[in-house]
Amino acid sequence: MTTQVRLLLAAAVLALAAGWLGLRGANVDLRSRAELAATSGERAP
Amino acid sequence: MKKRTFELAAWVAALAILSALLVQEGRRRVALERRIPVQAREVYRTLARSQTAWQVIDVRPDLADGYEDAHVPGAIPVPGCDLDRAPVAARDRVFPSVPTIVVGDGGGAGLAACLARFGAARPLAGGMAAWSAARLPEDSGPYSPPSVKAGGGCL
Repeated sequence: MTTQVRLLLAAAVLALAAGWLGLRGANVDLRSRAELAATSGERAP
Repeated sequence: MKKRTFELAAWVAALAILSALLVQEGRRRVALERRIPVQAREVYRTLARSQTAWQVIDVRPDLADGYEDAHVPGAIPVPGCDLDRAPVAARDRVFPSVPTIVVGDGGGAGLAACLARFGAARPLAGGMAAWSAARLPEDSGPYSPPSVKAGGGCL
């Protein structure tokens, strides 16, 4: 396995990890909004 | 040779695990978005943008007392989220993959069914009553499909 391939794989792993962490962070915010909507009596249709 | 195989397997495993985590988090996001009702004014602002390709599905069970009395302009009536009960002209206007706003009148099986059925669906907070209370434009009368074949929900 060449250094270039290793770098490519490392970049892919980093990109996936960054995407996962970003989405996870956004979901934490979304979860708190969903809980707020449920507890504040915001009526669903 | 063995070391190289092990290294490759480790990379593949790392990529597979991270991909699975990413997909799982994406699914969680879709499920969370379904739980957050969207406010009437936000829906209006979104639909008013000409480039928006959203559809509005009205799932109120009674067509005469609900949809035909007053509805969000461009909304497609699908009582109880049952396509068999929708007007014939509306049946081929419903696209499961298009972002969807579901309009109801206080919950019910139709709302839950529609939220589960459409790829990206969110309920209208307060249903049609909230839309009317916000004094946003509304239409009345039976469903008539737009003359140009495009998704519903255009204001």
